[in-house]
Amino acid sequence: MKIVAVTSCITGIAHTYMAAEALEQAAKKAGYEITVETQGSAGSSPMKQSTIDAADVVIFATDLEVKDRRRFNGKPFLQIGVSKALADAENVVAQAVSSIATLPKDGAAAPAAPKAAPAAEKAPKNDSGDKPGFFSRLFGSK
Amino acid sequence: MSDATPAALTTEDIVIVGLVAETKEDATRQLAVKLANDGRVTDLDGFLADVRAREEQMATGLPGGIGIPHARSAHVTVPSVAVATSVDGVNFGAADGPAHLIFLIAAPDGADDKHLHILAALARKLVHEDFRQSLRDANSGAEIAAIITREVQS
Repeated sequence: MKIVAVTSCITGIAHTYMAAEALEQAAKKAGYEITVETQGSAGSSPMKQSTIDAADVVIFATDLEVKDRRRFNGKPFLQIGVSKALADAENVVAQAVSSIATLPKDGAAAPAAPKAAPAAEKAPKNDSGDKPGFFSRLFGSK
Repeated sequence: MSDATPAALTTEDIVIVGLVAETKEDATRQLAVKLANDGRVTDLDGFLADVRAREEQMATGLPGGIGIPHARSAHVTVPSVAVATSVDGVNFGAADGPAHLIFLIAAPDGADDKHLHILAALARKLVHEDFRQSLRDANSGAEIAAIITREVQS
């Protein structure tokens, strides 16, 4: 079982790191591999994309928006506040692992996408596509 | 490491063993006064306002009997952690009871990564009960400061 997690908090000097440590301890105790990215004030060193790709589940223990969230696209994720990870790390890890099949997949149904997305993407990759006519219809090209 | 070794996060001058405080505000102020007297905080009230602003967003009491009031503030000169032990405990809003260890964490607004890494290391230590126990068992401010320095800055 491979877990990746992201932690962040408002001030970025305490809870972020405490939660990371708590999650690491809890995962280790349960016999799982975990990699935690702390998005705090002490500079965050992004984990490797290959680490994310290899993960079975993602835990976002974040009070702030996850940086570069698209890296986690398609991954089943559990979203919680940073305090919960700190207070209840073992249950959080257990819950993430036991509910992989039913967790939402990141980026899948992104409800706030239209407004949040800065400057509609040029979408060269046609990733969410399957609707080749969408843009032409939108812009009325005939 | 081009700079000299960063100043100690904690020295005995900013530790209170056997703190007596009715409220978390009182506890925080007593610790902040220590920081101000030690030249680590330049504006006591300004700093306390920054801590309060953070505290109002969410109480900083945590499981394991600890309270961690904290702020990044323009009124802080050097990353610092003032520590208090309290026999009776102070209510910091944790679900499992009062805080018997209180850490007032002060970071300068523009602190660089290297300095903040030290605070991050301390935060990680706070999760460990054996670390907390060693601080509760300490009999003097010097001992507490030594433990923190040993665990975090070695």
